[in-house]
Amino acid sequence: MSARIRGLAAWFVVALVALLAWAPAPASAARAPQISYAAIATPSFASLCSGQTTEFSVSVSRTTAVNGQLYSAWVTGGKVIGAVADERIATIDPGDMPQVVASGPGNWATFIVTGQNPGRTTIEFDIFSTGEERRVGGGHPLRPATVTIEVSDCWEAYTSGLGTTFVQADMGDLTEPFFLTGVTPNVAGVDTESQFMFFLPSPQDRLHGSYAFIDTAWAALGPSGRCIAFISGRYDVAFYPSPDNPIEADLLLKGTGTYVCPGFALPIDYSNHTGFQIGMRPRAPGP
Amino acid sequence: MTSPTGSTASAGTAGPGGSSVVPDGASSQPDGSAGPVASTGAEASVAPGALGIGSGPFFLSDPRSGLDALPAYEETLTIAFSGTVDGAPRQWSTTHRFQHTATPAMSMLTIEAGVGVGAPVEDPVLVAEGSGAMYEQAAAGPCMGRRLDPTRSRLAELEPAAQIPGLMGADEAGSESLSGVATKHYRFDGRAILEGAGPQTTGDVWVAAADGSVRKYVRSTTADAGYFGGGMAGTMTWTYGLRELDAATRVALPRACQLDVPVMSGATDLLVLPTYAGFDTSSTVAQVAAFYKAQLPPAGWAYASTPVTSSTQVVLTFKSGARVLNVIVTAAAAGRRVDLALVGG
Repeated sequence: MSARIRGLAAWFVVALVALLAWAPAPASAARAPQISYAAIATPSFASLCSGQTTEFSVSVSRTTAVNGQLYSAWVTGGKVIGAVADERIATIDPGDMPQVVASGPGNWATFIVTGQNPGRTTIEFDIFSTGEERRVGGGHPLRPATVTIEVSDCWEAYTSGLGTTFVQADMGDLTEPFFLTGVTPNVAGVDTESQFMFFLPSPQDRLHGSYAFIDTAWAALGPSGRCIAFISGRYDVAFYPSPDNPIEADLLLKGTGTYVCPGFALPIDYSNHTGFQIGMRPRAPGP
Repeated sequence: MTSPTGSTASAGTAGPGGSSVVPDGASSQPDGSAGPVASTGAEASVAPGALGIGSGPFFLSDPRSGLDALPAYEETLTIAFSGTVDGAPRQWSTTHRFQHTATPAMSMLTIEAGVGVGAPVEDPVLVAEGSGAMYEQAAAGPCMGRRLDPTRSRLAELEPAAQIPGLMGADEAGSESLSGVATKHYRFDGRAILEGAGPQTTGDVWVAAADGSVRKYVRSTTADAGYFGGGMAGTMTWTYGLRELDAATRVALPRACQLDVPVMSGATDLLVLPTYAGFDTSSTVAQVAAFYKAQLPPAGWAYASTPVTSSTQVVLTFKSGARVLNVIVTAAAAGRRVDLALVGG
């Protein structure tokens, strides 16, 4: 084929493509939407203690594609079903029966998940039916929702290097801020809550965090009466005998502060070593 | 949390904020972007290609259009139902109110108790996000604060605008002014939400001419239990409204949710919980102390004492009734850490 003929052929192809691209599509094609459905679970992640339950809401959204734009809507009347990948770690209720996605304020079906043993697993929520099969038709793509569940032992404080008797002892799973209160018996005759501890776990790691500590009945040498201690700093978590299979644990607190007594104040410096520690043990399973 | 609304493909003739007007006969390039992993086994009685959408020119792909540009706003969504549940008469309504400010970033959804026969019981009744935390208050319980993971926002799904479906082919119905905002009014039926057969739907939407935000939306759907699920048959209505708030508006959480104390500008790693607030700052210890001595008394906290003043730490105490607020300012390697801890009361 000569160069001229090849050039003409190429021009013809370009012109044909341009013509096809320009020509308006029939109205019926212009209005033909593509439909897909997706299950959407809330929350998408849950961290819970062994024995603790949490609720998942599962909705179904329909997405319709028209002219390159996506139009979404919640749909109701269908059913979704959930399955846990590892039931040693968590279980789901109901586990073997599709739940109706009902209309109303929520447009969702509800599932209850219970943490069983420490570990990480997933739950897949599948669309069993959209509720729109008779109206919109079937055969559309369905996308499940997968959520991650992390189950941990939860902890409670039971002793401290200061001899604390804890009033509020729940430490959760050490991933969220927790607050402890307690009393140190026989200090200046104080028998009400006198220790207030605010713990803020690191968002990246439950083994570390920061804290603020106020003790309104700090034990001080001498007959100086009741002192107040203000301490803040960092803490580390030590699991025994190992992080993988802990039976007990300690919060090891470092920091700086001051104790203030009538007539004098003294600095507290635990910045380079553990000043005191809080003993903790697994909390009995429960909600 | 992923919302079903708000996803927009790259192509298309998008107008302001995700709404668009599509001329008749425009070429269609459907985008099936949702990742298919399975197919329904239900028998198809209607071929997808035969489905019809609305005949009008107005398309709304993102009902949240324009909201992110507003400094402060309030949305309300009232859902009402009249009909039967498993044959028993039911008539109820419930209202969700959502407030948002961009600075400081705070969003709060409050759910008013449903009224009427068989009103749904919704719990929690308050969800808020801001100040580094997510707050939830149960109908009968304390307000709980957790550290906020912005990638797992619960309000993204619960925001009232996220309940509005995308609209395909609504008809023009004129221009109107709503509370001083110039809007375009559109009217739709079930075809605009791909429900042309079966349920009977009518609706209206008013979209701001300037930014494409949905200012008002009213929809009514009458259907059987196959549509609503849960044995519900009757008529459900959704009434949505958006109003802008003064930019200086402060979303006030209930006192039980958040230690109500001022926070210094420029604070980082901020976390405010029911009995605690803390943040890092580059301000000096003296500047922090001066700030709280000036700011806390007008908020109801009487200055009590400065029990600690050292080169590395300053502690101030304030009192309000039986409650004692301790402001602990500690020098750190980089800047200062401020802990505000509530004791007693």
